[in-house]
Amino acid sequence: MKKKLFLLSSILLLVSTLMWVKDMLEPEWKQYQVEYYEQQRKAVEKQLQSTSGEEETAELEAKLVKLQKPKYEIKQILLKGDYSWADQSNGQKTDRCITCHIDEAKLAASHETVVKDFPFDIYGCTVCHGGTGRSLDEEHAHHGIFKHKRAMRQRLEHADVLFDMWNEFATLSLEDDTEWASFKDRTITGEKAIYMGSGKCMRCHTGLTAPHVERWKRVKFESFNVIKEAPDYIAGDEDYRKKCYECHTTGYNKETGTYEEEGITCEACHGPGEVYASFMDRGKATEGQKIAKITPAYNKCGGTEGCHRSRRHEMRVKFFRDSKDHDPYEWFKPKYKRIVSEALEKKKSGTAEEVDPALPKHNIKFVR
Amino acid sequence: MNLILYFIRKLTETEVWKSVFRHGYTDTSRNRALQTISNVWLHLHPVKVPKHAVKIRFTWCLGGLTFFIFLFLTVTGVLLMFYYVPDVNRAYADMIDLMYVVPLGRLLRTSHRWAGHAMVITVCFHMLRVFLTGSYKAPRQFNWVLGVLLLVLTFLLSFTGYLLPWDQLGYWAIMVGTNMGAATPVMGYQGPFAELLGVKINNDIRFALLGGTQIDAPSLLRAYVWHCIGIPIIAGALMILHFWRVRKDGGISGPL
Repeated sequence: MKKKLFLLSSILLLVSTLMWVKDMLEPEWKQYQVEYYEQQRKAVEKQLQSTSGEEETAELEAKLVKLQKPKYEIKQILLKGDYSWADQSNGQKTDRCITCHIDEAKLAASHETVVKDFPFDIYGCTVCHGGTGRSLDEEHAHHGIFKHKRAMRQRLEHADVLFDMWNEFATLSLEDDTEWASFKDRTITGEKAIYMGSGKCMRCHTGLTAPHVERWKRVKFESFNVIKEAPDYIAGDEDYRKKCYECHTTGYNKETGTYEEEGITCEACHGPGEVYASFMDRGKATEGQKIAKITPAYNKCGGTEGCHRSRRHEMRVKFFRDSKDHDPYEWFKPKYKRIVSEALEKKKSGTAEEVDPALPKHNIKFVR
Repeated sequence: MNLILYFIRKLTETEVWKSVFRHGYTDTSRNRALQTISNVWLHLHPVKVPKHAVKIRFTWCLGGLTFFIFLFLTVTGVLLMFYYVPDVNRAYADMIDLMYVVPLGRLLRTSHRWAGHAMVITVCFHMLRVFLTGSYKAPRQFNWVLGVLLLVLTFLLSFTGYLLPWDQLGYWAIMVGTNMGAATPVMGYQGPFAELLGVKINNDIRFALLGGTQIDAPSLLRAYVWHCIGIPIIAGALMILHFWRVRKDGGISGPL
């Protein structure tokens, strides 16, 4: 009996030891790499059969030799940033996801909307997808993961989730002075947030925030309609018009030269509405507000980037200077034109003694 | 054959050999005792073992098992110290790395953890056995007291080790444990007589355990130093006393 027990426990010890050794030599992640390199090797072999050029063949053969003896290893992305306990974080972050998800071409293809702005080797994976980046077994690594866009959007329980992600983007970014505000046009999937159009806002806000809405609707919403009639806009080509779009439209994209909506509407100042509109739709207006009210962070007003920068109409000055058919005042400073002409009319009819001294004096000179 | 015997004789006659093996193999009672007593390693064992002592069903070897586990924990613990840094910004990450990146690191960590649990179990069973066989009675009453101290130290080792992974489990376990300390009479600021003695949140036993009024970097460092250096040294010293007293109080206890 005792001998049998001893034998049994010895066998158990041996088996468990062998299991540990096997686990060390053949970890779970290795099989993914074996599969990947196998695929790559087959693809190269196939290519090799169809090519005839000497140089190409040599190149492919060299590639094949490498693939026949691949190096299986843990791959990791060391992430930038100081994740200290004081910030309720648990130390330096490392994403080892690419150890199993090794096919970079495949990853790039499935992330084509974001990979350009957020390269894998800088931003890693967990900033958007969650999970445990350090871990190398599936159960632990995928714990609390946001696998698809749908899962990421479900994550948006409150606005702070988005702010935290912007913050983390800023931390991970290679430029030291990047702030979270640089990523304010991003939604929770890392893609650029969609402009919903002022019509969506108006459904509720014409009644809710009437004075603010009325004021902007009357003046700035019409801004594009005004410039549409301007002679320089009509005469100008698309490149010239793009300069107008920059400020007089909503959601202008500098790269493509397209805009989302004509006129300076809600989202021009409040930012793209995808996230906050969805919060408001779901009855979480207070959460939506937090995002919609970061308006000043969009720098729309002044500064060097904003619309109200100095010399912003310089190109128009040139047009009116060159043109003889148009009265510059009519199109360039319509307000002054109106005031001056009204004052002159009064003087002509004799109802007013003289021009109001408080009238602003223009100091723009046109040299013909 | 003769050549081999010649060499063996030559070897055993050298100064070095005689310095190490001082008493030959003469099979007399006295010489056997001398062999054991004059060797620092062998003297840890008794010169003579009573027949009942090898019967496993009386003692179940529980004390020995506990000591074996203690040695195992010391070895694995020292190995873990090579990889683990008791810094709040690193501790958890180090533990995860140990599990996934260090070769056999997971075996190291899990065996240390399980052995820790096992030591608490065996030490409790050891105490139960001593109680049930009446081995705490005179002349062994002092060794029972030492044993109780060792039991407390084992619990403290387990308690301080619990925080070291710096995970949620450990964090909240220490939160509960130290808050119990805060409610202890006289020593804790929430306990009876606290106001009378001027015991406040910043000078009670909880403060001493945490190194502050809440769990933070000093708490982790304190747990680490107590776990790796303080308590093992005290427990080791008491163990020496404990084993020595087993021999001096009439040898290992056996059936009457």
